[in-house]
Amino acid sequence: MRTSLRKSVAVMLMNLIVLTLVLAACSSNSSENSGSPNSNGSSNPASETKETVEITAAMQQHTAVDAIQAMLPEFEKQTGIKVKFDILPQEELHSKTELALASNSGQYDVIMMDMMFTSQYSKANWLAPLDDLISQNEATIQSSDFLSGFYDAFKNDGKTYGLPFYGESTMLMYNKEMFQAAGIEKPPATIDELVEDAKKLTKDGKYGIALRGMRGEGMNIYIWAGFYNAFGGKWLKDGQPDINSPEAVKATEVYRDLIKNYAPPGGANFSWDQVQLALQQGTVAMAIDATNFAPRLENPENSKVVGKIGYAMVPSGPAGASPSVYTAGLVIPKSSSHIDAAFQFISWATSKEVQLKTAIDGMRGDVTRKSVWEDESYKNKYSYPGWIDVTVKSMDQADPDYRPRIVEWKRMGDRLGIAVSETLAGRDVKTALDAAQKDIEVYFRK
Amino acid sequence: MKSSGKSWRLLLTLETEAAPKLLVSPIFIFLVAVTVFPTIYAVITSLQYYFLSEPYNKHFSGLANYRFMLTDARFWGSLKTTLLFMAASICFEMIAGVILALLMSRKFFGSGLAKTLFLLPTITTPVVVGLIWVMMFDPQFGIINYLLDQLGFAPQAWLSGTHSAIWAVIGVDVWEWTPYVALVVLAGLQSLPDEPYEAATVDGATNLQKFWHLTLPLIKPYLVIAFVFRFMDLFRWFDTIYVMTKGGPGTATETLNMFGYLTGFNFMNVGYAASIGITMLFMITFVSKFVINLSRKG
Repeated sequence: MRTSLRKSVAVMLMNLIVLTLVLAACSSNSSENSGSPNSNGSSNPASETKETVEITAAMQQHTAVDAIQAMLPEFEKQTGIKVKFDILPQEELHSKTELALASNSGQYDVIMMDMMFTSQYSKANWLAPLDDLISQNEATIQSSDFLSGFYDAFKNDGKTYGLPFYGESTMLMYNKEMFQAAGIEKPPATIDELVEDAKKLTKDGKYGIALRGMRGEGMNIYIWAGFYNAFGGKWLKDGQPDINSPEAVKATEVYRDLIKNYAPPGGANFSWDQVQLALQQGTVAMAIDATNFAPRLENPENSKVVGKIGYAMVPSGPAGASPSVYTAGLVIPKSSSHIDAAFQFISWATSKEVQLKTAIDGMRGDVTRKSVWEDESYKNKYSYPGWIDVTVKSMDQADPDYRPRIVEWKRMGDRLGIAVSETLAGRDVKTALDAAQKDIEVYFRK
Repeated sequence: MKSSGKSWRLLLTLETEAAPKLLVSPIFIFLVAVTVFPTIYAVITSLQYYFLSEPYNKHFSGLANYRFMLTDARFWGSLKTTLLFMAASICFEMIAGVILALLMSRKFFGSGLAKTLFLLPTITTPVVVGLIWVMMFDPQFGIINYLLDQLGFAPQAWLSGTHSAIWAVIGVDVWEWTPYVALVVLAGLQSLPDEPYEAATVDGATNLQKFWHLTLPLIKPYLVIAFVFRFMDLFRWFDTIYVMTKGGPGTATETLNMFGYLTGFNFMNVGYAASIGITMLFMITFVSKFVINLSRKG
C-alpha cells in the first residue's frame, strides 16, 4: 500500500516535471517565432507588412526612462519594432555597456550614454555616426529644435553620434521661508554672498547649504566644477592638466568650508539624493544641484517644502557664473545589427510628441527640446515660479566643457573627486590638489 | 564497421590503460577552462598596455604595468589599507571568535537557539550587511548616533572622517565574521578528547592552565583554517566596502581589490588591473602557504 502510494506520487512528480519542460519549450518557441519574419503570426497584425525586429536598449534607472517604458507598446504598434529595456543604475550601466562595446558583442542596439563619454567612445570607433540618418529624416527629427548645448554634446570630429534624451543644468534652490526668517531678502548672486548667507542660515538645528561631497566625477566634481569655473580655474594649459592653480585652491577651499561649516553632519558623504532629501525635509536652506530636482521638491507626497522653494541662477565668482551641462543621449553601437530600427526608436523617444506626453503624464523636468520647454501645457504643469526661466537660461549659458570633454576625463575626474573628498575629511587643500595634479599628469603621458 | 564498434567498446569499458585519464579528464578540462586559462590570460593581459576604451592603442609593454605599480602611490596606499584592515579584523575576530566558541561549547538553556542566532551575521548577504550598517551609521537618522546622544556623547559623522570610516568598516567586518571563526573553533572544541583533561584535573591544573596548555594546542589546526580563510577573504575584501564607502573619504578605505576593480571597470585600464590581480594572487598564495607550513612544523 505504502510503496504503491509512493510510486504514484513519484509518477505524478515526473509528469509535472515533463509538463513544465514541455510548457517551457513551447513558450520559448512561440517567442522565437514571433520574432522571426517568416512567421505569419496572427497575433501581431503589424508583422504582416513589416519585419518584426526586436532591439535591446541599455537604459539608466531614471524616472524619464520609466515614462518611456510605459509608452513602448505604442511604439511597437506604430512600427512593429519590439524594444526590450535593460535598466541599470548609473554606475553599473557604465561598466556593463562599456564592456559590451569593447567586446563588440552586439548585445545592445541602443545605449543611454553619458555625454562625457562621447569623445572616448567615438574615438574607440564603437558608435555608429548618425549624420546620414539624421539628414535623411530631418523633417521628423528637427535637429535645430534640440537645445544646442545638449545636441552638440554628442558631436565629435564633426560627426554626430547620438540624440539628447535627458538634459539638465545646475541652479541654486533656496527655501524662501527660511530666508525670510533670517531676514535675507534675495538669493545670493555671488559666491561671497552665498557663504555669508549660508553662515546666517546655519542655526537652531538647521543648516545653510547642502552640496555633494561623495567622491566621483559625476558626484562631488559635478557640483565642485561650478565653483572651479566660477573662480577662473582652467582644466588644461597647453594640453596639460592644470588643476592646482591658485584659483583651483581658492575654489576648493570655499567648497570645503561650505560643506564643513554649513552643511548637515555627514555632508561630506552626500550624493545627490541626500542633497535632495535635505531640501525636501526642510533641514537645509539652500542647495546647488540639478535643475530637475524641482518636480520632486514640489511633490507633496515626499516633500515638506512644496511652494516654499525659490529658484535662482548659480551664484557667480570672479570669473562669472558657471551652470553645468549634463545630458544623457541615446546612441547606437556600431556592432548593432538593427541600426535602422534602433534609429527609429531613438528618434521616436526624443521626439517632441513623446517628450511632451511623458512630461505631462509623468515627471520630467529634464526634456531636451526647445519646443517642449515653450509649450503651454508644459509651462502649465511645471509652473513653479521662476523655475522654467532659470532652467532654460542656465542651459543656454552653460559651457559644454563645464567638465572638459577629453578622453582622459573619466580618470582625471575620478582622481579630482578623491582630492576634493580628502579635503572634506581634513586634508590640506593645496597638498591634496598637488598630489592629484601629479597623478593626473601621468594619465596624460602616452 | 567492425573496427569502429570495437573502438566504441574500448571507449565504454573501464578495463583499459586510458581509463584513469578518461575518468579524470572531465574535471581536468573543467579546471583548465575556469582557472588555468583565465590565469594565463590575466598574466598575458598584465603585460600589455591595454585600455578597453582605446582598442587602437593596445600593445605589448613588457613589465611596464608592474614598474608603474612600484611607483603608484595609490597602489601602495591601498595595499597599506588592506594590510591594516586585515591585521585589525583578524586580531579581533580570532580573539572574539575563540571566546564565543568557548561560551557556545557549554550546554545551557536555549544554547541550540543561541547557536543558530549568533550565526545570523555570517549568513547575511554582505551587501545587505553593508546597507544595514550604512543606515545605522547615518549621522542624522542612524541609531548609533541616537544612542550616543542619549548617553550624552557628541554625534559623529562616522563614514565621513578618514579614521572613523576605517574603524567603522573594520567594526562591520568583525561583527559579520566573528561568528564564522567561532563556528570553526567550536567544531574543533567539540572534537577534543576527554582524557587529557581528566589527566590534567588529576594533576591539579587550573582552568586557565588547561586552556593554555591543552585546548589551544589541540585546536590549533582549526585556528589555522579559520585564519587562512579569513586572511584570503579579507585580502580580497570588496562587497561591504563597495556598499558602505566606495573607498572614500578620499582613498581612506580603498582596498587593493577595490582599487583593482576601479582600475579595470571604471578607468578601463585592463592591463594594469590584471597586473594588480596577479600581484594579489602571488601575495595570497605566498602568505597562505607560509602560514600552513609554519603550522605543520610547529
